[in-house]
Amino acid sequence: MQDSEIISGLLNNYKNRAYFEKELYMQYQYFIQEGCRKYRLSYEDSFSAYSDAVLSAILNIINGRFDQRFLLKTYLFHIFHNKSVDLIRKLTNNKQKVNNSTVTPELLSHLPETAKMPLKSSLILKEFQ
Amino acid sequence: MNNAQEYIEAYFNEQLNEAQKRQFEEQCVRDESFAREVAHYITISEGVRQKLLKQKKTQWSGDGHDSRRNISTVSGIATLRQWLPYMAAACLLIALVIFLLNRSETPHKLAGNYVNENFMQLSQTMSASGDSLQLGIAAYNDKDYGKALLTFQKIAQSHPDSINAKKIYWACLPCNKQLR
Repeated sequence: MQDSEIISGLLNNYKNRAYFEKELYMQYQYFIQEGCRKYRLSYEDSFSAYSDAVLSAILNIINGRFDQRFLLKTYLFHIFHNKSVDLIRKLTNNKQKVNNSTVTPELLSHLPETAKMPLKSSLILKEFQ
Repeated sequence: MNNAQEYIEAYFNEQLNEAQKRQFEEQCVRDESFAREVAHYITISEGVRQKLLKQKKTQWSGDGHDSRRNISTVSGIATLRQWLPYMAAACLLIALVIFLLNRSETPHKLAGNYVNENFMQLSQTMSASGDSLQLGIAAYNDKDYGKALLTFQKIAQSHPDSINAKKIYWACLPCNKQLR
């Protein structure tokens, strides 16, 4: 399926959105194996990163944040790469190993470092509420 | 409250211009209560997102961990396609080397071919004389190479200037396997 068909289906066809989501997922599914090979992730971790990347791409397309400057494949791989790297950092970070339930919210990455600091402490407080 | 929520949502949906974004970020640093509201928004959004992700993972992986096998097949085919031009080039190179090796002939074989083409029969002058050269030629044409060789050897020794005798003597040598 062409990129334009998938994007059009996600934007305009609310009723069959799940079908186009699945098409997008299936079309670049081989990224999972790429993730295993390139980033030395387990299949489950690579699958997790890929699913996360697909979901982010879908949400960005639906919210009009994907401006079609790049191919959908390139865009998706870029997100998948970032997710894989974040996952590697999470797995190798000793603090995260101790408390596996900690999840770094994706929206936090939208903010600059100066704005993140006061929010992080609030987020940590909420973690223990 | 609703205004703050809409303001925060507009920031994360990239609906604000650069100046408004900077203002938002500065407010996060300055205003503790605003920072808590933003943190609250992030936590709720992340919770919804994780739930959606879990749902989608189940939905997408539902047909498979057969998909795992499909991925291996697809990536295997892709790898094979990637290496196909190199394999084709290697096969061509091997074929070329084999062709060139088979084409080349040993010096002995080349000499033998030349003799077969040019010296199987020597021209004999029609004469009744017992000319030793003619006798030698007759012996050569009768394939009595031993006799011909002896005859021409004697002639070559007795007539060192005779080029014909020498040529014919040399022609006899491969036939007598002297060069081996």
